[in-house]
Amino acid sequence: MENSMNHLQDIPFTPLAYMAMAVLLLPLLSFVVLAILPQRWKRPAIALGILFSAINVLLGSYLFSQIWEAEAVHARTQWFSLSLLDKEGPTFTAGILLGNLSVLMVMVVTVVAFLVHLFSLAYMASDKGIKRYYAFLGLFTFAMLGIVLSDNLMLIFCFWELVGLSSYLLIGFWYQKDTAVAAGKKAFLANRIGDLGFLMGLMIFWAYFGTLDLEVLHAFQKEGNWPTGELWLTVAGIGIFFGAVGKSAQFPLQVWLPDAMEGPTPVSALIHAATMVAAGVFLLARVFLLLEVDVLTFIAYTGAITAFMGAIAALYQQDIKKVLAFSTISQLGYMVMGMGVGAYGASLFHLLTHAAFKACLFLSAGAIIHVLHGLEKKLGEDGIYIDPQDMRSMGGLRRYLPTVFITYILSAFALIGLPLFSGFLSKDALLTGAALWGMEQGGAAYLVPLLAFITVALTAYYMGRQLLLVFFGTSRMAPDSDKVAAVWQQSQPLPWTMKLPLWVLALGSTAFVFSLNPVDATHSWVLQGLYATLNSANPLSIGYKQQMSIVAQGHHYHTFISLISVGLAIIGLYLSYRRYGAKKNPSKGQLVEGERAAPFLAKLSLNNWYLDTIYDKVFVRTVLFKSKTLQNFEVRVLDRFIDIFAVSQVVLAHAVSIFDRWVVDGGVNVTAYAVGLVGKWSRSIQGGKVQSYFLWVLMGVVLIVLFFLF
Amino acid sequence: MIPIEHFVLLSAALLCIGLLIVIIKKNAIVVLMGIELILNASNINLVAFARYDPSIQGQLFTLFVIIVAAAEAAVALAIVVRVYSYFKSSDLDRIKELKG
Repeated sequence: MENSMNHLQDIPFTPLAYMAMAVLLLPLLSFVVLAILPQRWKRPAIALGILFSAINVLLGSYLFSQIWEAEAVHARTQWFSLSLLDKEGPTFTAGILLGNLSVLMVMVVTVVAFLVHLFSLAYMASDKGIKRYYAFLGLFTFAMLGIVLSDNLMLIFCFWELVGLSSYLLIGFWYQKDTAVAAGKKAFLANRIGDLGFLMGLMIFWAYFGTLDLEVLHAFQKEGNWPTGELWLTVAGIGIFFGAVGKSAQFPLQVWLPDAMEGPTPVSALIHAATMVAAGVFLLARVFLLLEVDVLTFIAYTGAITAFMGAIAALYQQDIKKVLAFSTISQLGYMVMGMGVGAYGASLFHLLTHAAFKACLFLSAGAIIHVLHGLEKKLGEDGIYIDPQDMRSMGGLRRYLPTVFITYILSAFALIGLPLFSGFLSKDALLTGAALWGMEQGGAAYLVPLLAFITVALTAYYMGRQLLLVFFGTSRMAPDSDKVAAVWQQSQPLPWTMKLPLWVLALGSTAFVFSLNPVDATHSWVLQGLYATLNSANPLSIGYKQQMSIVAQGHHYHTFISLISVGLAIIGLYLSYRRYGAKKNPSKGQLVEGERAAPFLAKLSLNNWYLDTIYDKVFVRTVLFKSKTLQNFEVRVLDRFIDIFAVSQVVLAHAVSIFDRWVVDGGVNVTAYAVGLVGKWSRSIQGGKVQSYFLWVLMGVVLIVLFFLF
Repeated sequence: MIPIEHFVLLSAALLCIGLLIVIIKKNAIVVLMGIELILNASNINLVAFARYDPSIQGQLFTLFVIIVAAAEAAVALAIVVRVYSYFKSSDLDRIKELKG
């Protein structure tokens, strides 16, 4: 495109852009400070880290108030140029793009990061590596804000990789544990596979347009310079989507997320609920208008399948965090599906609500684990062993942890999608989009809304099961109830640094924060603001057309769809009540027994669709087999060949050394000896005797005379 | 008149004797004597040939040679004395400090 160079002029930084830079760099400063300060200053260092993150919330809020529903700000400067001395080369720019979308994400990231900073204070208090932990939190926040604020895909990719790195560091934080190290590695590898696609997509975009600046790309689109129906652009879209598949844990790369629960629980709240996994959805939102129709269809199917698979996998999990992890996969599937069906606003809205209620769930689970971990030691003295994360040894916790009970139930209701809670609004918007898309496309496309609706019931079932197992009934910690009561007597109350984040996030799980009308989000400030980001789009863009048709027709179906979804949720809750409810109140033994005699579905669920097994068989084994074969080949053939080669080299070297010693050295010695002889003889002329000198002179004279005579 | 060949033969004989002494004799003083013989051989030649020359250049040159020989003998003997006091010997075979 010949006019792309004109688009890439520098755009001066305004005060708001500088402020965004401050928001971006403050967590990096926190990382650097925490990394540099010595271990003995860890308390002030951590306090500084929390202070920085609190300041970041204030700065982020100010940015939000200035940018939201107001003029977008774009600042850009030349980053580097590949020009040679006289040859004009491509120029790369870097800058900050502040719009409704980015400031909304800035709010999510800074607020959740601050709450997690605060919560971790008590959770990680006894950990030796707490300073390192806070440093990594800063690094992660920096990387995430970088993705959110960058104005071009190249820069986003850089921060994208940095997020991958810092999440690897945080998941493998307890590096003494082999499982944590393996989980970090797995997350890193799964992300790399997705990033490969992302990188390919970027290369194709670059080859077509010579720039990766988002505004410029959108300008091409708006001016009608966008080539339509190009196969390579479809490939690019799918490639970029693959980046999102890796980060947002979509099928088939979702296997890393459950394992990532090995990291500290507040980390899960930050990166596996609110930020890192949402980065994939955010990326899709950034390129939403640039995606081809086939790409969108592919995204819709992938999202729906992931939502369903995640929900099935969550059904029978024993670990309190694993349930939440699979639920996250499922909800991310919803968001991705939303992008695919063109429900752009609804998808981002769900990202926002999910960030709040899932972070709340994770932090509540963290509080439970924190308390039970304290009790684990006391019970261990009496010979009773519990796993602080195993729901089978919980039960009846509503009496002992009332705060956590309330926040958990609020956020769980939001996740299930009950009216008056935030999840209801966003999920309904998503389901409406999916249903409209299904009706519009017809045929196999009905699969997408169908899976989405089934997932609603499944979500209600597994959350109901979790609530019942954790909070209701009687405690299954110890065989006799007196013992349990005695142990709970000794437990420490939750500090305010833990309670405050829980309350804030639980408040964020209610519908009133997002919409004045608690049962219909069509006119909520969030959706209106998000739709506004599409205003400048080319009306011919596929995503734009789909979004607008959803906006136009959504309200016809809204009531119907919300009734169905609430009905399905209630059915799910009822089924879970029938199985795990108060009347049944299953004991730990019964639960263990029940799992053992479980049907195929339970095994499928517990093993996450046997994906790990399949990958192990198909990829890991194949690779190991290949490497074994290659190793054998190397040992038997290559090494032998090299050995023979080496031996012949040694033999040759010996021969050369003999030749060297006798012929070369001999020649040199002979020369030296001859020269020595000559020297000895010629030295004897100068014997020091005056008379012999005289004789020589005389002979010389005689010779000269003879010469002249004859 | 004595023919010139006789002078030339005499001076040649003296030259040869002088050279032989200079080369063969051990004592530094005898060597100096050999040098005197060589100088005097040339003197004989100069004087003899001066007879056939109308100018007196040859005879004057002989006088110069005698004076130079006297000066040379004085210097050389002084050196020999110093050498003798240093080496406790005037034997030229023992004085080999100039060996390269």
